[in-house]
Amino acid sequence: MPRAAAANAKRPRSRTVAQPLEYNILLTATLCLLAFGAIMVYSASSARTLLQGQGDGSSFLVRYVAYGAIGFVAMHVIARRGLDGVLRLTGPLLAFALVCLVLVKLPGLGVTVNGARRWLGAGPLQFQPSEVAKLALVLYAAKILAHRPGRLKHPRQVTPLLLVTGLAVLLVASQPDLGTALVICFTLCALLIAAGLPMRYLLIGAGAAAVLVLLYALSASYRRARLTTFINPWAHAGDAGFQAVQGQIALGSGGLFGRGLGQSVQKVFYLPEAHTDFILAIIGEELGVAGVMAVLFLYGLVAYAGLRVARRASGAYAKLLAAGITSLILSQACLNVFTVLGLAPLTGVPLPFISYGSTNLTVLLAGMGLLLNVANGGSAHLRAVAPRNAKRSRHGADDRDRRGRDSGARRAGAGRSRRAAG
Amino acid sequence: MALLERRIGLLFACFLGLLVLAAARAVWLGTVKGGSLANAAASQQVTSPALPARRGTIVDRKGVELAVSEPADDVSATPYLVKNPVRTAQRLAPLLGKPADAVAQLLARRNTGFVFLARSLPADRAAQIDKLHLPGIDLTPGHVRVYPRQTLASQLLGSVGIDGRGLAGLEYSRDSILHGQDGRRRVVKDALGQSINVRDTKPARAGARLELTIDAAIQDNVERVLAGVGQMYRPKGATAFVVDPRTGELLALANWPRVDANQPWTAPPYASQDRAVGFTYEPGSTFKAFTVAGAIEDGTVKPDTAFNLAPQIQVADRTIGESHPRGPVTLTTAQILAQSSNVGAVTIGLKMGRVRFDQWVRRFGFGRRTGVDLPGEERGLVLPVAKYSGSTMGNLPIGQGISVTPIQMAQAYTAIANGGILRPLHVVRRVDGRLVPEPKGHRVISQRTAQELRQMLEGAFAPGGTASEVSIPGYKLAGKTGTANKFDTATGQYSKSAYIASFMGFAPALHPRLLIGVMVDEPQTNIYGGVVAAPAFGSIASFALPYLRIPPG
Repeated sequence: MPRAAAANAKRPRSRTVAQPLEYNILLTATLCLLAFGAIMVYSASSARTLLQGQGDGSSFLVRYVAYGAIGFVAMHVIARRGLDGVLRLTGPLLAFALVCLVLVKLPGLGVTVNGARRWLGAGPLQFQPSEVAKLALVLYAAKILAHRPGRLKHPRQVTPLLLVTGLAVLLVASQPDLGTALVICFTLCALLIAAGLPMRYLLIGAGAAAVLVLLYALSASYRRARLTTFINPWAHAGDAGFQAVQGQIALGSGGLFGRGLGQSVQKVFYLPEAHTDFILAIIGEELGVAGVMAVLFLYGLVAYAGLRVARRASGAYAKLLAAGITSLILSQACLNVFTVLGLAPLTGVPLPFISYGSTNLTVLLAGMGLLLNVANGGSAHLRAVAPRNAKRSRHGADDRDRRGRDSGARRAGAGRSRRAAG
Repeated sequence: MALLERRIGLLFACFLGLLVLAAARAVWLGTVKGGSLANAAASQQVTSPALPARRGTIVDRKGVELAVSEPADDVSATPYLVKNPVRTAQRLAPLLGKPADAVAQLLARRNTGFVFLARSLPADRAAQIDKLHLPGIDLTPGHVRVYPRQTLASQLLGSVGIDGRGLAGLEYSRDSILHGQDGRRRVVKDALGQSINVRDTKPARAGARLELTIDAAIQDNVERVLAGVGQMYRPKGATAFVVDPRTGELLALANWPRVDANQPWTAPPYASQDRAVGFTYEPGSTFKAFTVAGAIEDGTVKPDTAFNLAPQIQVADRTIGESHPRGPVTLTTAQILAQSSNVGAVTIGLKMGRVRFDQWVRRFGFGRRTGVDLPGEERGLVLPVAKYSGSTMGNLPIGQGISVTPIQMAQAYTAIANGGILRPLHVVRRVDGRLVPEPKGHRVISQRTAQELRQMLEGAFAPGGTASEVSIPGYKLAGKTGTANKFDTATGQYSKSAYIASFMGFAPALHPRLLIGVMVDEPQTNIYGGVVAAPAFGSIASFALPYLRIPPG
């Protein structure tokens, strides 16, 4: 413990060093998105909850802020701690997520909302295992892909990864939660791209996945309806296309600059899921195309800074981790945005950082913590550590100390390179 | 590592592409599609109900309210939004004044998005319904027309339809000024139909206040007198009017049987009709005054010109006798009028000649609408000279073979009463406090002729006159009785049983302040104008003269 204390004592000194540009961009973008989210969740939910007599209309805002605060603390803690701990925790976290995904299937344990059994736990401690699994899989994939020696020439080389991911995707998709399953697939795809898998396999894989998704989509009548209504939602405006149409009406009626903050009419019982999956439509209605552009710009910033972090990170693991988390955020964002804009069929994923969604918000903020960690120069000496990882787990303090030293050096390095770049 | 970094660059390119695609789509939806999407939003969110203007009040010349509009709401339901039809019906039924199962049946009609539960529900009860906050139940503000005096002048006032438009009477003819201008309201509703934002885009402008020339007290008296006539002689109907001959203002215009203006649909069409303008009849003897007036003005006869009259007179194939057979007599023009001699009137008519006679009939306004501000005015029927048959001049001078409306008779008699000016009668005195200019009149006979006629018409009340039993102490009266066979269109003959008993008179005789006309359609127990109609004239005059503080004379 004295050594830990010493390590802590070192921190204020190290923080006087200017943070890298990417770090600042990511943090700023995240904070902007969170602020935007708080405002829009309040705006989109208050009228409805008030009219339904559920308190003073701030219930969703309060919960959003509470989960946001938890996530924010987690983000900060993770951003400062090292990545070695993350590496060690990857296995248990993945195991935990998979167990939970199985548990949620069990009647009596999983909580059903809107016909989908996605929730575990009770009261404020309720959470969605699929969200945890999402992050766990990114960590696991980064670890496996970075661990693999030599170039990735054939998918066979990552068979265990594909199997585990496939299992998770199946479990998530059967909840059913097609949206999260797709996000996981896209993210893994992005990681495989980053890891250097030859393009032909990716294309084959993508083709096969598309066929599978299509089969899955056609396997249930409501999903079939979603697909046909996607092609022409206005023909089904009364039933299956209702949400899509109402979303477009909200977005379109906002025009360029919107009706003004809080002035949405669509949020009052017209548009289902106005404060969660379809919050972008309310942003469009209240703040217009300008508001939507601002959100897209913030995601663009996250993509830019996140992938820049990935390029500059030292070590394959840090690179892949940064790329994976950025891809996770961006895949989810794009899927949500495309859905609301009518470019993709209804899938139902929350808009990252903005939508009300307790587990998603906390998990993504934790992920952002990892990204910030890497941005701040965090890395893990995977090749050196990994083989002995299990054996050396008892010498965590030693690892931490060395990591602290390493990260200090990286920080300086990053700073130098930035100056050079400038 | 280089591959890794290249691939990361590729990823960035992918995400950037997707974001740009999303941005382009957002711009497309917000601009190019923005208009139609905004329309779609407005069509489901915004309703623009009309704000019905408050209809103008109708008052009599003293300000007594005859027709007023009170706030009332239509209650409607959107059945599929009603959560529990049975419970909702139970709560609404007592307020709507309908049985609960009838309301429940309306609410259970799932195949429609709109049903009326009640029209024009009084505002206090509508407010109670509003307080219940029942989902799917809507209130549409409006007004209900109320006639506080119920039957008073109901045929004159007319009625208003459920859409707030006048259907009959003054409510119809003056609808444009009574109705006002409906406003428009913009209501933004949420998906459950609850109002989020209400704004009046165009305020409603209330209708104008209409002040009539009618005096409610006189009108009331006239209606009572007619009711008495109705009870005594069991006629089909009766019409009476009181006119101020100096101005042409109608002080009363009444029709019997009475109609409750608040429930006009309960009355048969004959009763609802304003027969003063919509009823044509052959006037009979009351018309002789115009025969004589024309002859005197032309100088054909003088009031004291004497005529030797046989018991009957032959005109072409027609023989005209008196109503009460008599022997040969010598009568002056004045006596001819006072005793209502048919033979005398025909003699004077023949003396005038058909062309002159026709000109006089038309100068007194017969055969065309008077232009009184009441709807549904008939024109009557006056034969052109070219269509006269040989016997026509045996009919017309005694008021047969010509059809007139009561209002035409009133207008023509007004000219005799006021010194020779023929002027359209009118019933609207002020609109929103501004005096309506009196219609212009034109002279038809000289002051002198008019005065001579009035003097001659006093004879009806003198001993031997047709209305000699009617008198009002202190006042000299003048007038003319009429007892006319109705023309039976079924047989093409004059009916032997259906008559119109009428009386036209004024008081005081020398300087008339009141012209009173009474028409009784098909009296049963007695047919003579002097018996049926003249006493009604007397009753009305004996109320109106002191009521209007008209000095005896």
